[in-house]
Amino acid sequence: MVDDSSHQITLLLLDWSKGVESAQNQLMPLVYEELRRMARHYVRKQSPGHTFQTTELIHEAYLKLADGGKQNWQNRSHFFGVAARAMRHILVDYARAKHRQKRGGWQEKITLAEDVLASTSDSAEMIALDEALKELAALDKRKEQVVEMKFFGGLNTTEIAEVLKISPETVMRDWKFSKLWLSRELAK
Amino acid sequence: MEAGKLKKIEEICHAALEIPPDERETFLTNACGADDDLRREVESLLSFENSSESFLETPPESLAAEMFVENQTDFIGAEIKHYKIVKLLGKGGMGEVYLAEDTKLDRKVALKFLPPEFAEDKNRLNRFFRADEIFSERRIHRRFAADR
Repeated sequence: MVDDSSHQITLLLLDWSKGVESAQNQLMPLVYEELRRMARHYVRKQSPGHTFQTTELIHEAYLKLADGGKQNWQNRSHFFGVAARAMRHILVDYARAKHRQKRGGWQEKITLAEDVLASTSDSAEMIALDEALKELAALDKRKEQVVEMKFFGGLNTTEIAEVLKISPETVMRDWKFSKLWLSRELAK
Repeated sequence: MEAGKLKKIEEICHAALEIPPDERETFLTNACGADDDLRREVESLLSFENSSESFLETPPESLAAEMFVENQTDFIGAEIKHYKIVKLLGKGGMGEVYLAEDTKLDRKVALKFLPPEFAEDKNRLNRFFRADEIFSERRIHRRFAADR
């Protein structure tokens, strides 16, 4: 059984595969919520400290929706493309929230005492990466998408090429240059 | 910077990356001509050639893992040996600290849970026990490492 949002996501993916471009924008918030919901659900079944990859979650979300809904949207990669963006938002939102909470409190003291608990550098880096990606997007939107899909969504070169309708060679070039550019931005 | 300029920078960068480093000087002189800004941009980007290689190649696991345990509520109230979990005090990629009640001795304790790969690594465990002494200095009454 799928709930309403899953059903809606299925329909929007169908629309998108038929070429309805606006479906993509409608999909984003739904996939965002779905992934968050699934992350919470998944976590309840796990013991603390279980490591869990973002791509694993996206994959589970896809299987759930594909199994529950109509399976004839042709493009698995399209879902992963949207999910990659949603995942970026989820992680960046989390990093920002964590950053705000940083001042004072238990975790801060522990972090200072010893690096037993993860340092806050992960969240700081995530925020910096997000900012740099926005700047890159202002210059070249497609490069932002390539980085998003590869880093946050775990899509491979062929899949990215399929979603963006460009050649795999162009994906590779975008990826290589984006990494140069973002490395420099984050080193500033 | 404008998008058009980025395109030019990108093209020269890609071409430069294709040729051996000792030939790049000549190549850049030809490719950039008298445009010093362009050349500076290209050179500064090329200087990240090595350091950017591994950049973004690993998915954001530790932050994600941490986030996914954020709303872990079912663990609260669980009983492990004679400890009852009260609430989460702090967490990170390398473990979580919970406030618990020691039901035998009727007092509050701090329990730390280590990720599985952490608990199997002797060096990391030693580091954990060192840090644990710091906990006790902070007047947390009892030290305890629980295997899951």
